[in-house]
Amino acid sequence: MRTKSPRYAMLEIGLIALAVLFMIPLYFVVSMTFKSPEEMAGFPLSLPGSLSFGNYAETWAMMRFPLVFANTLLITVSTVALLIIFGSMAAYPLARKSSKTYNFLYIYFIAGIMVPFQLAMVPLYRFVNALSLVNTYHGAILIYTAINLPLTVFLFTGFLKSTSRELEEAAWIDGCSKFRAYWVAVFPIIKPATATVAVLCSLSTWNDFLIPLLFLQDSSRRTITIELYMFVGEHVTNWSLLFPGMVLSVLPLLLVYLFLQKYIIKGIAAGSVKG
Amino acid sequence: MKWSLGKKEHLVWAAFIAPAFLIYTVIFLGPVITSFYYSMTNWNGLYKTMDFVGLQNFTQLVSDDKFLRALRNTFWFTLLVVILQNGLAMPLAMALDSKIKSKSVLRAAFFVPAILSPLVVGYTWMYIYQPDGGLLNELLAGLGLGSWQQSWLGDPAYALYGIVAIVLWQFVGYSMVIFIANLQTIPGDYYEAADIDGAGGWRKFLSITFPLMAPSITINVVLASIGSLKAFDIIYVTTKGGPYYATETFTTLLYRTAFTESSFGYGTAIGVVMFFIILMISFIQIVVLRRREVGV
Repeated sequence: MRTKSPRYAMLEIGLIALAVLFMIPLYFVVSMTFKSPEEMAGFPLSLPGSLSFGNYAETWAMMRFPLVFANTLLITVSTVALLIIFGSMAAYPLARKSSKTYNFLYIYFIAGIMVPFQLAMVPLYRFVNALSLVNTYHGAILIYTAINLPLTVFLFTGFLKSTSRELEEAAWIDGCSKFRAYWVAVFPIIKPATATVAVLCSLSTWNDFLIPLLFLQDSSRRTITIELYMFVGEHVTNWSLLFPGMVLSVLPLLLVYLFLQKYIIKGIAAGSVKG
Repeated sequence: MKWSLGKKEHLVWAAFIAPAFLIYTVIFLGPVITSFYYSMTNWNGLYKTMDFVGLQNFTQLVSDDKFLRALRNTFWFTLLVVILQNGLAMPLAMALDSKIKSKSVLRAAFFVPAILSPLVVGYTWMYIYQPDGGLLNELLAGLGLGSWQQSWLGDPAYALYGIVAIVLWQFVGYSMVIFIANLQTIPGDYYEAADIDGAGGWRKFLSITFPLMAPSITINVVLASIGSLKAFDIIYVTTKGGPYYATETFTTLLYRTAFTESSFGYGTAIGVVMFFIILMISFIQIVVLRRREVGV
């Protein structure tokens, strides 16, 4: 083993160098937020002269950060909750039963993975508009739930197939209803798939911009991403506000990632390799 | 009590499936199926009137240069992303599954771009690629390679590759994580046995690692293919399909035709063709790659 250590040291140094190179775009954006207009015109990788948060304070107020943050959080959390509850419930019989009907339903659900969302856009807009759900939170939540259901059902079904039926069958014998047995005996053992769904669907919902562009145009309903997009349209030349806006828009996810990265990385891997 | 097929039993399972089925059908698949109908009309997306034109939109597509160019771009883009993303992620995963000390920090670092929104990633790279004073051109100048400077996203010869590079930067860490999870399922004994047999590193990779990585290769190839064929946000944010249609793909063409040019029926036909292409490609990939998995 000892003879190998210099090789590992070399590998490690190479990988660290690669990771630093990889991080340059992020460093670039963050360093720009602290630069004065004169510094911005200089070499892009130079360090900012001072760490002043003035640009952030101004951007925070202009993009109404507390409001758009709360909007995004509400929509993301509600969507993920609905996906976990309804998606896992639907996946359960699809994973356990193998008659033609259930196989068809499984294919029916996962076919959605291959459909480009743009194909649904116009009929969906007319429908959502007819129900007066444009510019409402529940409208957006329902749309996100619907478009994320195919992946959710796929991941839960894949995972459920690898689990044993003994616990739930024991619960039935004890007189539990199918429904109760599911929540008591099955739902707790599919946690790894639940984690995967939570991570993937939170990311795609939080980061999405096409749906709020169409369905949440009212400025009091905007999400973080769409606020940033509108912001760029209005202040396209003002870099001193754009860069802090970009950092602020990704900061909530970055903080969550910083604290939960082990679970997030594990979550993605668990669902993917089993599914 | 068991998984019998009584009528009441079916009702219970129907109740489990119903909420998801309703939301998915009403909000997503229903509109998609409606669009399949629109693809056979000349509807402009705005007025109430439309004529049923049968398969005319589809026959028109076959000889439409814009569509054929988008088809070429989409396939080329997908091929590059699938091969490069997996080709870079696999060695990275193997390096970060070894005994080096800082591996968990490094893994986390390579994964960071995957959590960022396409909007932020797109803006960031637009500033990196900027012709005047952009990071990439400044770096080239600093290295004495000033003659290599380009308007990276503004030149039709480079724009598509510029976007491929962005996608690789964002998602190589994602594929890496899935590969690492698979690597961790390979028992260490296999490598020890191979050591005893005197197998070299390359030999061990070909005989042990690569065959046993089949499940994650299937997933990564299928995910990257569907993701690239459906790519929209990153292209819309950076080039909107330009310059001179150099980065025009299915989705940007669909969007422009259906919404900007108000040829909704025709634009929708593009989406329908795209759906069948994605379906076919994923199906072939799953069949071919799964066979490899079984063969091991």
